[in-house]
Amino acid sequence: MSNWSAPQALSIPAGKLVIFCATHQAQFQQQIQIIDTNGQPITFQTFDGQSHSFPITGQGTGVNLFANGNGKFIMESGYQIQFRNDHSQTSLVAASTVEFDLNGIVYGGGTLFVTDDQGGPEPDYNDTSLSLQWFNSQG
Amino acid sequence: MNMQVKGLYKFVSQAALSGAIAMGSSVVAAQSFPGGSPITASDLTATPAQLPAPPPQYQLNDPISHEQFARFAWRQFIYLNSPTKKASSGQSNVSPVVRGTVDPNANFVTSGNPRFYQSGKSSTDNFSNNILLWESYAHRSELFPKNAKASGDFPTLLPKYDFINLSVPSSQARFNNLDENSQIGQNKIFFPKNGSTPSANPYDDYEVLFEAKVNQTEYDYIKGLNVTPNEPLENFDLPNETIEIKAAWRVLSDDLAQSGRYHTAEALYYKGEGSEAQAHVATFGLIGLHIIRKMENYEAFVFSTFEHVDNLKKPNGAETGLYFYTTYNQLSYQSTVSSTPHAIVNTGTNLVQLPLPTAGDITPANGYEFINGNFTQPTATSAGPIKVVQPPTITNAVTSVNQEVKNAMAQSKQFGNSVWQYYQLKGVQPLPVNEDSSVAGKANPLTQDYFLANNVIESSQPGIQLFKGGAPGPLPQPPNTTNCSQPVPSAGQPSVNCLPNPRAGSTAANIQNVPNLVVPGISHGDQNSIVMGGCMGCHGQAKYTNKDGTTSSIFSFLISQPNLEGNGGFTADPFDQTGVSLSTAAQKYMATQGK
Repeated sequence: MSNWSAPQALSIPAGKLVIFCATHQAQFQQQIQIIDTNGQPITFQTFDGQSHSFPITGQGTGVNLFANGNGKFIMESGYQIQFRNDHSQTSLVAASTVEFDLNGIVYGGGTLFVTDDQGGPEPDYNDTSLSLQWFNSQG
Repeated sequence: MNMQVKGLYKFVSQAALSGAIAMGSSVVAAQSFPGGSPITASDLTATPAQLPAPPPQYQLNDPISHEQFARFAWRQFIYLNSPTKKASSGQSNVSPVVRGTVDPNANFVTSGNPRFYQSGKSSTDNFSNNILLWESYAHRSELFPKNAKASGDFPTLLPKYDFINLSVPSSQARFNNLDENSQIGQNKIFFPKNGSTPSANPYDDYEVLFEAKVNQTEYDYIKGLNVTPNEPLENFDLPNETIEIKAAWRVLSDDLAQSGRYHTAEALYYKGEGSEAQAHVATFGLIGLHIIRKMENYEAFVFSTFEHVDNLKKPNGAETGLYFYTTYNQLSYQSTVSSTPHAIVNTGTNLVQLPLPTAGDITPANGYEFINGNFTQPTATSAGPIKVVQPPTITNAVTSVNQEVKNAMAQSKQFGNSVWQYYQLKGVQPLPVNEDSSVAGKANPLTQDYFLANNVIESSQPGIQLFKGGAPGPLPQPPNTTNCSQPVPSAGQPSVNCLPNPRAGSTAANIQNVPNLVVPGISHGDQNSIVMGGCMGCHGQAKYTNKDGTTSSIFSFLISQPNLEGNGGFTADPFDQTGVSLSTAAQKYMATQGK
């Protein structure tokens, strides 16, 4: 198993409802975890390295998605995210974030993560795709 | 470009950068920045080319886009790579070109002729009078000759070079003078001669050599200083419109020399250690060009760099095999760097988290892409050969503007045989900024090209490619040390040469006490805690100790107190430097050139 990638702070305001969806198409097993301020995982996803079919998504009980939280959680400050795989190299991680605002008030947004396990000659960032979408949980 | 179209472009660009499209918002009146308007065929064929005016001050509520800065960088490249004005004939002991003055009757098309340099040569003169504008600038050894002060008349100065270890008279000189044999003391870099596999001895391959030059603004400023020995100046502050150049060159195979894809020129290079050093002349191809320029509102200089498109891959797609040897065999991060060191790259549309090599010995297990085989190491404390790789640092804005320039070249129909179609902008850094803190956040537009590096001038990770923070040279260490913290052995060949790489915290802050520096969103006091990356961050480590004992970033590694006093100068590096000589030179490089 590779090292976890360095934890990256989620820039989601506290109190927002977060839903997520993950897909993967990789030879190697892929894992994702979100850790709290004490470094404890609040979600832990394992994607079967033998499942080459694409996409692996939805409610995904067969691929051990959503082991904790039914695909959603409430954001708290200090949460961070990290990735790893069962190849030898640390996962490369790329992300893009958008925010939804009106009159200067941010109501929601999302972050798309993609990773590469460095199992091929050049990074193609097609091993894991994780989307987090977030919006006000009350109102 | 008319302002209406430019304003529309700016609005679209801002929306893309912010990731938010505010329908119905009014178009913000754009600041006037002609140098940032789209590049057209007329920009490429203007006779003469013009140096673009400085960008307006960067405004957080009306930001200049990275595309605009990229176009500005390209316009500087066009100007600086235009022909130099020829001097009046019949004068002896003066330069054959008016140094620093662009030819009013020629342009960027003229200099793109693959035989530009050769066609300016005569059988009776060692100088060509077909010289690029930046090539006519003063070499660092003309700015700071051995134990002397610059005293020449810049436009007419006939090149001659007085190094600490040898002198080259005008009768043997060339405008290009490749007196540096390493990537600021950290790496030596080579192209394989046979296919893409390194030779057992790297000096049997094509080594990359370097030179640094300055424009007349800097030369005249230095010449005009009156520095008393052992008395620092109140402060040292290079004037606006200072331009410094660093160029990388390689010897070309016969096929490449005839390919028409390289700007070529005769250049001096050096062979032999110490007093045995001798100047030689060969024809080299230009493969990398740094341009840094200080301007009002851009007191930390604007950094841009250009690469030859064939540096990593040949036109047929095969790898060139470009490789390097480090001059150190161990790396250390300071304790505040996480156990999983990484860099966060802003491409303009997304952020990328890249793992860095881990601390310890320079080995494949610690994240270095070694090439297998039996090789002769340049020193007992070097490591390699290591393949040069390109991390995903190239921004979408720069890629887009490079394509824009290619389209303009095609439209003009005058660049079909030009060497300039084979050079591309790598990136541009306009202002100091801190690295984005997380990939899962919104990127700061100014962090695009934060890790600016040229693939032939800064090639080793994390030493100078994906660089941020402090830039001390390798430190000799006793055996069995691991963190660069032991007392430096007194002399001789060390068994460990350790590269410290401060990347976080106060020890990594690299831009300090710069007069008049304005960084949007950061107070003047807080500017001293910025940890900048790439070229600008490294040059921020070039400091001057003022009379009151404070130190200021001056962004030029050429300046030192002995040089300013006329008691310094530079050493011409032999291309085949090895052993203790190379280790010692590497250890002292940043210390002697940056302080």
